[in-house]
Amino acid sequence: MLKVFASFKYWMWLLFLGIVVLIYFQVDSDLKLPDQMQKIVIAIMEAIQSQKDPTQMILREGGTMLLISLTSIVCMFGATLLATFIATQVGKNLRLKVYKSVNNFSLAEINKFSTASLITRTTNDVQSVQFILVMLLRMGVMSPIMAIRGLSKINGISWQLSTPVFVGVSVLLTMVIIIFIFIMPVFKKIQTLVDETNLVARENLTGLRVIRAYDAVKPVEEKFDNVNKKLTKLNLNAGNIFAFVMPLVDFVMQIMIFLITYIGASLISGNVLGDNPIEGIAYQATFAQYAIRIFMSFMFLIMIFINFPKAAVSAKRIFQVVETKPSIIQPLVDEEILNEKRGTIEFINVDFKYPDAEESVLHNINVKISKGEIVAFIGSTGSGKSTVINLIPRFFDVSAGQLLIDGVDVRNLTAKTIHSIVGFVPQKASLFSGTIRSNLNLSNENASDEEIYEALSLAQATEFISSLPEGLDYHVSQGGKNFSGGQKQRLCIARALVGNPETLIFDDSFSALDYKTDRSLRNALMNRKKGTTLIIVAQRIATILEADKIVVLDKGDLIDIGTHQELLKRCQIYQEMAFSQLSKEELNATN
Amino acid sequence: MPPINKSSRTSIKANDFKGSFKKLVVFLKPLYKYLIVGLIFSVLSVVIIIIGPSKIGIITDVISKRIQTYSSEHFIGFDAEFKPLIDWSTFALTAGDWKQINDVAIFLVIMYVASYIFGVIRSFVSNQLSQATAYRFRKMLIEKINRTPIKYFDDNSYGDTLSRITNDVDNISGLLSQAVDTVVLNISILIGYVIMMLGISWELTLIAIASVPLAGLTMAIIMKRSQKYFAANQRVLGELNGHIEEIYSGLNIIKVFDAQERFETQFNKFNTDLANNGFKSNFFSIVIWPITNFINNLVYIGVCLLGGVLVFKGRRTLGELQSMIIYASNINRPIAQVAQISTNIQMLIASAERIFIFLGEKELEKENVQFELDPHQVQGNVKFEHVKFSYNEDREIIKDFSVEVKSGQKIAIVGPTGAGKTTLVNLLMRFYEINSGHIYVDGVDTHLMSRSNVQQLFGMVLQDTWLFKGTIEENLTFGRKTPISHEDVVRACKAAHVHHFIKSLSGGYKMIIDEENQISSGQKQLLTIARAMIVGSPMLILDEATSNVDTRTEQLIQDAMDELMKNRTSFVIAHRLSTIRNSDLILVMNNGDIIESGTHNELLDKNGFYAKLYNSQFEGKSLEEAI
Ligand SMILES: Nc1ncnc2c1ncn2[C@@H]1O[C@H](COP(=O)(O)OP(=O)(O)OP(=O)(O)O)[C@@H](O)[C@H]1O
Ligand SMILES: Nc1ncnc2c1ncn2[C@@H]1O[C@H](COP(=O)(O)OP(=O)(O)OP(=O)(O)O)[C@@H](O)[C@H]1O
Ligand SMILES: [Mg+2]
Repeated sequence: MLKVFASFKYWMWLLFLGIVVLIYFQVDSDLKLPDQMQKIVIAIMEAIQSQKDPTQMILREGGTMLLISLTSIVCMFGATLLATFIATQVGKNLRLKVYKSVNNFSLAEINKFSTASLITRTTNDVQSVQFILVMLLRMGVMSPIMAIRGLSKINGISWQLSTPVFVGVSVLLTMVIIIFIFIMPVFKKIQTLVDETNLVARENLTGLRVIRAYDAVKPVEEKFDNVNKKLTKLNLNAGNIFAFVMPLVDFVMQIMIFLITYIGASLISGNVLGDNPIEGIAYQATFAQYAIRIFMSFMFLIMIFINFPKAAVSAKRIFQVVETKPSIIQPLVDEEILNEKRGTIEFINVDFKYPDAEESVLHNINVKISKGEIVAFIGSTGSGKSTVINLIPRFFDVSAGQLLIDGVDVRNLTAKTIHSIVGFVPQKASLFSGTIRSNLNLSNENASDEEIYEALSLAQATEFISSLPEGLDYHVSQGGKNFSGGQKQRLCIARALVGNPETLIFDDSFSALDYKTDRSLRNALMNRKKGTTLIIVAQRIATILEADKIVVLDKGDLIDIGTHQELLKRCQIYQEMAFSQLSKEELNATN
Repeated sequence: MPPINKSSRTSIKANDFKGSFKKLVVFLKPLYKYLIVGLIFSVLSVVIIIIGPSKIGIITDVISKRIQTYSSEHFIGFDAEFKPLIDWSTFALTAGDWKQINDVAIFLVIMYVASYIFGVIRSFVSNQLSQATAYRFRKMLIEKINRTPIKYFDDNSYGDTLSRITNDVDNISGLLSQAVDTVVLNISILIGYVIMMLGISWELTLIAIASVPLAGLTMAIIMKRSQKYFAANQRVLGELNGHIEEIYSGLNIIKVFDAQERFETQFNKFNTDLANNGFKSNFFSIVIWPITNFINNLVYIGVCLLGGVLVFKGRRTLGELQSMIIYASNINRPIAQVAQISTNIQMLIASAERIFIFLGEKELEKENVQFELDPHQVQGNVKFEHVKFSYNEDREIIKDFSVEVKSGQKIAIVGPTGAGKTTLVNLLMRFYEINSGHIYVDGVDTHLMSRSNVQQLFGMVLQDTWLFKGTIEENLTFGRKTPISHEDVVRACKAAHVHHFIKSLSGGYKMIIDEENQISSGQKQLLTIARAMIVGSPMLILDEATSNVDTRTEQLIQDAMDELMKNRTSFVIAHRLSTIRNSDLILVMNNGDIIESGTHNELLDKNGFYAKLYNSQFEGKSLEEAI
């Protein structure tokens, strides 16, 4: 939680100072108010005793009283204004910090936290920190001021009377500390369970169709219910601890007042309080008044403390994210790219192991891709095609060996440069909510409509876009749910084409296209994108027939590189693949 | 960039404080036991709170009396200013006094202990109340999700719904007990004071409690004005949640297109909005406290004024006025406390409102169950009859679709992308309801069956794979109604050719996988195929089930699948024509209609759309050159 304060901007401290001043005056007026009320009562009595009409007096004293209470209100207004402002600004900054940190995360860090948890941390946790901050900034300032003022008044009247006050306050403080120790771990668990509710609920949402198709609504709801029950139980536990404590505050206060009166009685009886018993009673009464006030101020503090553990846990969770160093760190500046190497990509002895995995999935990969070449990767499921390709935009770093883009190690290029060089179409087609336009100009917000249409036409998507009434402004749902698989895939292809990158990567990105579309798309790419390096992962032999190089992968090993004809002659795995798709007759029929 | 989130589209009318409040009350009804117990203990606590001070007063009274008697006994003359001189040296309380004081003391201590116990019970009860409410809300929200048409989630972000389950329910679990507790307790106190005051003077009581409607009115006015900020606050929080859910799950793509800055601008908009609304709502509502405070002070002066006049005229005694004034200042406390938690109440209502809005969303069409098909007895005759369907009113996707499928046939559906193949599956599974026409299974209109019954009849593998966090085995047996032995699971995995892969994982079948994919796309597809085999439904739908699987593996699975689908009706959608070549019937779709049908060879002979589609893979650089 201290880190939250450490993150305050300097102007926040200035405002904080303002809060302190305002609250000082507020407390000051608040303390004057009871005296003023007493004055009115005395005024009435005096007036009545002397048979004068009290109206005048009351109005005069009443006016003063209203003035005092107005001062208090104005100060409080101001303090509240500042406190809320600071708290909401801090909340805003924290959210931004978390968001930015997550944006710098690589897949490894995201997997470590899980997406669901990162979401909770950005909203839920920040909310609870913000909530406590408002309280802390107002009451946390008010309490000590009030306590100090009160203490200075009772100081030196009588140590015997002070004892119950000190004992009461210490009892409360000990209690707060004990609660803190007990409840922190509970809240830690609670927030983890909030993550889990988020996770299970999110799964339910993303798997809606499958869940219904498998008639598995019940088990899923039971799974959620389990988490829900656990969360409820922990919340109940935490609440029950508070249930013991909150009334204790009242209890301690009542006992304290009682003790002051009782001890006061024996002091008066022993003639020790004041010069005489009459003074004693007066002392006792004033004492009780201020004791209540001191106590109240501690009560506010306790209210804060009771909400504190939750916020402290949240703050910790927030800073865990903020302080996590991304595993992939960008260089500040690019290493210089050699012009003659433009458009090339080179894998040199690349090994790769997923973080936390035991075995490496790529072994000693050596591939050299020159400018304008079409290079295809083929291999059985799980052979490592996507993994190889994902190294290029630096989703992960190689474990050993080197990957050169334009002749420079990717680790010496900034993300911006890599992404301006490489256009990427992922295996899983996914769009962002918005419009078609906002999805297509992702890499370049200022892309003109012509550029977009050019990309769409290359991706064979013009036809279905033009059938939409809104055209480019057609609404896209989250993930692109309102498009068919093939439409989504073509939009993803078009998205990569808009930036006009030197190198295009397609990770099995024609799988949802019918043969005809696939065919025309590749024709369009080859005819109109000459000079662009194309890297294609595909399963269909037909898709990669005309590749300059075909890389055959198997279980993470590079088996062979060659053209279709070469491989068909010498590579057994490749032959098997070819024959699994086209019968011998078909291959012969074209002869 | 146009606004990304469309949740506002569906939030019918935000900030209807009264309506949501009423709904919340109705919602709490089944929990009335808690409320009543809470109320009883509140009243008991209140009695103590009100009686306590007067009992303490007795101690002071005893001392005062002693002082009076003592001073009349020990009067030794007047001083220079004619003030009485008293010899205090032997002053002490008598044993009788102490007895009185001790009696009171014992009584008080007992009362305080009782009060503490009441307080604990009260807090317990209200804690139960709010946690039970939160639990029910979460449960209802999840159940609601499963009763909501898929269409709703086409239009609304997941993150927004998630925000309702976490952030909004969290507000309720945190604030409800406090709110109920404070309001109930303080209203009881207020009533207690009013009763005490009525015992003294009704005129003064009237003035004293004038602050109640006044404060109430001010509160109502301010709350009404500020409620929109609270509602906006929770709404924006939901939008923000939706935004980040999308960003966090699509981070790789955002990075690769270097679009972080753009999304950050969007994020900043939501974030700033949230901060502004948070500021306004909090501020407006905290303001309630000082204002009611001020009103109370006004009333206090009013009481003094009128009381003074009444005493002056001799209608009331001074003592009565004094207690009256004390009560008038005490009445301030309960009002102030209620005012202080008004923020919480408003936040609570705003959150409850969002929950109720979602709970009130249109549900799946009510079922009209007249038939029930036993999955074990189903023949598998499927018939589409003049089916029409559109996702949105403006674009009809399926125009007039009729087809009859015989039991045990393997049906392939092909066609260009966007032809409506997946849509057909959606309709068959009743994910969406058809606009007109009928779909029959074994002659029974599926519309007259329960949805879950229809869905039991089909096992399916969808275009996008979905696995949940859990062990591989849990994922594989998902949806399976009857227990299945591990050996059978392994058998299915061998058939789907994932056994080998699963074995190579560190935990094998016990390894926990999660949404963040530690497996390749093709492997995921193989797992979902195995899952469909394990669930064992009488009919099977495969929608691009092997699109990411290499063709060699696919061929191997194919044999296993053919075995599995023997005598079962199956629908296979695939672009890879090698996948569907040996189907009994191939339906060629275009623009939502069947344009051709027949077997592979028949269709090739016809030399129509299908033949063109098929041959297009050899066009361009011809195979001839290639070999
Ligand atoms: N949820 C939806 N909301 C609105 N329109 C949709 C939705 N889902 C699909 N569509 C539209 O319906 C049409 C048919 O889509 P469908 O998914 O059935 O195509 P498909 O034949 O399966 O194509 P593919 O081979 O690409 O998967 C498309 O034009 C698509 O844009
Ligand atoms: N994040 C990850 N953590 C650990 N292992 C992974 C991860 N992602 C993939 N793997 C494993 O690495 C291997 C290679 O996966 P990859 O996705 O590269 O295969 P692929 O060749 O693209 O397969 P497909 O054709 O199915 O897409 C697989 O065995 C997979 O299980
Ligand atoms: Mg892959």
